[in-house]
Amino acid sequence: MLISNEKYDVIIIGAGSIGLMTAYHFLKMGGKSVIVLEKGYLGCGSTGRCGGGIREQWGSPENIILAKKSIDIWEKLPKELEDDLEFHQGGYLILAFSEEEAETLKQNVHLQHKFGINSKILTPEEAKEIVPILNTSGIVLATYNKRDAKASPFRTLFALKKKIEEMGGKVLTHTEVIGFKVKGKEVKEVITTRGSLKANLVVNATGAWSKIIGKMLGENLPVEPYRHEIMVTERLSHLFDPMVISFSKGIYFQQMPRGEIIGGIGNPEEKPGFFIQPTSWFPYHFAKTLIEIAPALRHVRMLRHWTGYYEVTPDAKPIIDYSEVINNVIHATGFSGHGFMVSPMVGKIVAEMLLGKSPSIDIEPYSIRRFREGRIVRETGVVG
Amino acid sequence: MKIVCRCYDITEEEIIETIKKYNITSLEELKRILNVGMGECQGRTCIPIIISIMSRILGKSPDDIEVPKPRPPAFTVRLGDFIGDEDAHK
Ligand SMILES: Cc1cc2nc3c(=O)[nH]c(=O)nc-3n(C[C@H](O)[C@H](O)[C@H](O)COP(=O)(O)OP(=O)(O)OC[C@H]3O[C@@H](n4cnc5c(N)ncnc54)[C@H](O)[C@@H]3O)c2cc1C
Ligand code: FES
Repeated sequence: MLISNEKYDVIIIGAGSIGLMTAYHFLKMGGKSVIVLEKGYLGCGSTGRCGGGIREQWGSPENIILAKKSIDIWEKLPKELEDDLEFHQGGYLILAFSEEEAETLKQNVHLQHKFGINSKILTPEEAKEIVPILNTSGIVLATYNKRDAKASPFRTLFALKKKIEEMGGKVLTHTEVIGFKVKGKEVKEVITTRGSLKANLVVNATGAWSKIIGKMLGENLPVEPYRHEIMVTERLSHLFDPMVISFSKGIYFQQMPRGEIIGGIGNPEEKPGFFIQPTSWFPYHFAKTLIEIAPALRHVRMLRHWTGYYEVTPDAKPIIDYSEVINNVIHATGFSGHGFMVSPMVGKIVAEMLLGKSPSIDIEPYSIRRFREGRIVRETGVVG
Repeated sequence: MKIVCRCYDITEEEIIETIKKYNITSLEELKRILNVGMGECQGRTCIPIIISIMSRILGKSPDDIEVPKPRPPAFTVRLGDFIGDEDAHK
């Protein structure tokens, strides 16, 4: 099917959580013509490979604000989309294994309280009451926030696509953007593998691939793909509710509604690049660390293990900004391993920008300029 | 009612309903929404049946259905076995 000569107000590149949330909010706020272009099948990017964790326990105002406002939206989203997103607020339990780490987590909680988040500091024993399979030895303290949650990334993508189509928008899969026709400082046409489309405004929501789109526009976006590995076990009866994470060990794991455990661990040696193959490093290190934290899980069988990309910026904070070289392009990328959870609020902000409204939160902290000007403070609360 | 995926108790009716509800065109998509093909048997039991259902519903030849990539490990492995913890078998 060729698609030449169609014209849209807005063309969004990338049908991950960011692209689809943007299209949804754009239509919800009264926007009319929007199409989302996706090079593969729905969910083939990072969103379809991610852990589905949603938390507001962050270590910087930038991430706390996005996450908190996103949870406000997540709470209403299943009803708005009229679909089961497997959204469940079972909390996040964050473990500290040294005095230094405990201090950082305490400071984070202090900061979170300033933004109205009800996170709590727990003793190892209190943490074990919430996650009975926890081995408390070595744990100094934990922090917990009941409002943190999880949702199914795939169900979210499909529910969004269905709603977008019902509202008159389009989502076109298997259509790759391969270039742009630029005149002056404006994109006039988006060139795809199925023909070109005319657009007034373009959104780059291509996550780990956004640097490639940047390059096509003559812009250098500091977003690098880093492979991350994740696995799922067989199903078990219900053992625990929250997502359990440790920043120092780089591990996270949670039990899904059907009973399987999903978890991952970051490899500190990982280099940037598109390496999609699973490694043998992962199952060993994941199993070892998981069994240290929850020894009973040694008996559980791993079913599958796969990889995806974190789309990482130098400070692990996102880019939500107008292009610096092309007037009618907006970049929403660089979510550094937590783009799914903040996608509702990011989609809302980008939709506001597309409709010429002033964004409902200050987007200055998410500027591209900050990297050039060296104003970067690294987020401490990244896992994996 | 006909069970197609025994690992996840998914029926033929559920598969057809989901394909229609979300306009699903590939097995990669279907498996992530229903978990079909992702159970203990790694889809060895149900994937061939699902391909034939999809080809019937979508009016495509079975060869044109995008088939999921096999994921390691090829057979399920106890987590304890990855770190060679012997006593765990007890
Ligand atoms: C193992 C793992 C676990 C994770 N766990 C979590 C978690 O628990 N919680 C959380 O919030 N986040 C998590 N993340 C991060 C999260 O997945 C990402 O931050 C988020 O999905 C980014 O969404 P996106 O829409 O920007 O990108 P994507 O979902 O990658 O979407 C971008 C899309 O653009 C498409 N595309 C690229 N180039 C082109 C082109 N030229 N033309 C057309 N389309 C194109 C891609 O195919 C892709 O589908 C995890 C990531 C991984 C890898
Ligand atoms: S029968 Fe479907 S995965 Fe085993």
